[in-house]
Amino acid sequence: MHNIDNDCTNWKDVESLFFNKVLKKTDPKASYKAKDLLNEHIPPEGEKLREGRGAIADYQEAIFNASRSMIRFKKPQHLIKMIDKIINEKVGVTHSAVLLYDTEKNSYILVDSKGAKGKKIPVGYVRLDPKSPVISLFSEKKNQFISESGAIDLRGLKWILESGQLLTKDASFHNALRLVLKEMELLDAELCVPCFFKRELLGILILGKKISGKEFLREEMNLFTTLANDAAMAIANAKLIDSLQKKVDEVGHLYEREHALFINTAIALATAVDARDAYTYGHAERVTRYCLAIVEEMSNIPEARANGRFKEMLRITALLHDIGKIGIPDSILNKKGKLNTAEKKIVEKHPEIGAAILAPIPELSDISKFIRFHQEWYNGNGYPSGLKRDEIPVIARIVSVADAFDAITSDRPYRKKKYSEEALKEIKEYAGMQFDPQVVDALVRAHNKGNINNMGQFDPQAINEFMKAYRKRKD
Amino acid sequence: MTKILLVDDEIDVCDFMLRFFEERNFEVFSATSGNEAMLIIERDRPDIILLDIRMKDKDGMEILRSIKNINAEAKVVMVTCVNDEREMAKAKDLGASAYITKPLILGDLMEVVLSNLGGRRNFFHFGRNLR
Repeated sequence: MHNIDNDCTNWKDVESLFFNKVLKKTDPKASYKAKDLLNEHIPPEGEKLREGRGAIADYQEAIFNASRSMIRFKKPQHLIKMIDKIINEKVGVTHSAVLLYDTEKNSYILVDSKGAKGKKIPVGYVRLDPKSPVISLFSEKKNQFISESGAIDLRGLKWILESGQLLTKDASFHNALRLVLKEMELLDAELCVPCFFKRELLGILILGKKISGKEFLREEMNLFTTLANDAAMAIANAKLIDSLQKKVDEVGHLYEREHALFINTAIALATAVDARDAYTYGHAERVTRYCLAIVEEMSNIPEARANGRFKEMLRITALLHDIGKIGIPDSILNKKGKLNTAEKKIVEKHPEIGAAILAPIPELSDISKFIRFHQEWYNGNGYPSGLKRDEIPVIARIVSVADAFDAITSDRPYRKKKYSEEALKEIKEYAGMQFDPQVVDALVRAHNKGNINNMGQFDPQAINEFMKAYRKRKD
Repeated sequence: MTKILLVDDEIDVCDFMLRFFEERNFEVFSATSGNEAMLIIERDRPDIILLDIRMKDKDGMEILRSIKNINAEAKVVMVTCVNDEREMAKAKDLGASAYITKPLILGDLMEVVLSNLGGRRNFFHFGRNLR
C-alpha cells in the first residue's frame, strides 16, 4: 500500500490505478487503495479550489483527464458512478442522481444516487417518463433557449419565469417551463444536466443544492454538460459493443443451428440413398466411421493441419459420397449379377451426379469436389477425370479406401461378402494402384487396433453427439 | 395536518419518502414491517397509507386486508415492483385506492395522494406498461 501511495503523485496515476486495477478487478484490494487515493487527491472541502479561477482550471483538468479515459469504457455503470462521485466530492452537493434511458421500460430510470439520509433517492425507486416536462425540454432541445450550457438550474429557471425574461414569447413554452420547475422541485433538483449522444438523450444527471449554499457557476455548468456528454458517448459505445456482441452470439447460434440442420439433412439424404439399395443399408454411416478411424492414423497429413475443419469435411463427404446414386435407376442399382457395359457407365456417373447436386451450395463447393473424385484411382485409372496421386484430394483418397472396404465386407448383388482380413488383403494388393498406400497403411493400423468395426446401425443420434463433442473439442 | 403512513421494508425508501412528504406539509409516519404498520394504524389513524406489497415479515395484501378491517374508509395506495394484473385486481377488490409500479413517477404519486385526499374515488393504476 505504501509504495503505491508514494508512486501516485498525480491524478493520472490515481486514474490509471482506478481504471486498470479496480475496474478490471485484477486486484480486489486495489479498489480500497484507489478509493483512498481518490479521496486524497480530491480536497475534502475544496473551498480553496472552488474559489479562484486557477483552481477551477485545475479541477477542470482533473475531470477532463478522467473523462478522456471514459470513452474507452466498456461498463458505463462504473463510469456513471465515477462521474457522480467526482462531482459530488468536488462540488459538494446535498444529493445527486443519475437517470438512464431504459429501452425495455421506455423510461429514464434512476440507476445511481448519492446523498444524506432522506435526500438520497433510492436506486430503482424513481423514473421519468419520456414525455415528462424535464425530459421533453431536453429532447426537444428547448433547453437551449434558457441556458447557455444546456443544463437547467432551478434558480435560473425561477428567475426566467418570474421576470418574464424569455427569448420566446410563447405561452405554451412558458407553461412547459412551469411544469419543469414543478418536476425539479419534486426531485429536489437544483440542477439538471442532459447526457446527449448525437441527438439522442441517453440520460440526465440531477444535482441537489451545494452544501456551501453557493450558486452553481457557469463554468461548472459547462463542465458538467461536457462531462455528461462524454459519459453519453461512453454509454453509447458500450451499448454498441453490447449489441455487436449479441449479434455475434446470434450468428454463432444461427450457425450452430444451421449446421445441425445441415448434418441432419445430410444424414437424411444418405439414409434415402441407402434405403433405395437393399444391399447397402448403413453403407454411408459405416464408410463415415471407417474414414474417421483411418484419419486418426494419419495424424501428420498436412491438409488436416492447414484446415481446421478437415475432419468435419471428411465426415460430410463420407456421409454424402454416394448421394449421386439418387439419379441411378432402381433396376440397375438393385440388379442381381454383373452389370453390362452400358449399365456400368450409368453407375459410374454417380460421383458427377453427386457433385452436381451439391454444386449450387457455395458452402459445400469443396465437398462437392471431393465427392466428384471419390472413384478416382491412385494410378490415374479411375473415373470421372483420371486424376492420379496428389491430384486427387486426400479426403477423396480416404473415402475411396473406406468405400471399397465396406463394399467388400458387405453383401452386394453381384458378390458375397468377405471377412475383414480377406478384404484388407485384397485392398493391400491394390495399394499404389487403386488406393493411396498411405491410406491403406492407416486402414491396416486402425484395423489392428480394433477401430474398424463393421457392426453397427445407422444412428443419427450418435452422429449428432459425435459432432457436438467434436466441435467442443475444436473450441 | 394530513397524516400519511409509509410502509416499506427498505429503509432508504422510508427515509426518502419521509423527507419528501414532510417538506410537503404532511405529518409522516413510517414503518418497515407489517406489525409496526398495524400499530401505527390503530394508534394514529393515518389519512392515507402507502403500502409496499412485498415485505419480509408480512404480505402487503394481508396488511391491506387488516387495514380495511379496522377502517373500511382508509385510503391505501399499493406501491410495488410487481406489475401483475391479477395482483392489481386483487388489491382493487380488497379496497385499495391505487396501484403504482416501481420505479415510479413522483408526479403520479403526488397526484394519487392529493386526489384521494380530495375525495376522488377512481382507482388509479400507474406504471401499467412497465415490465
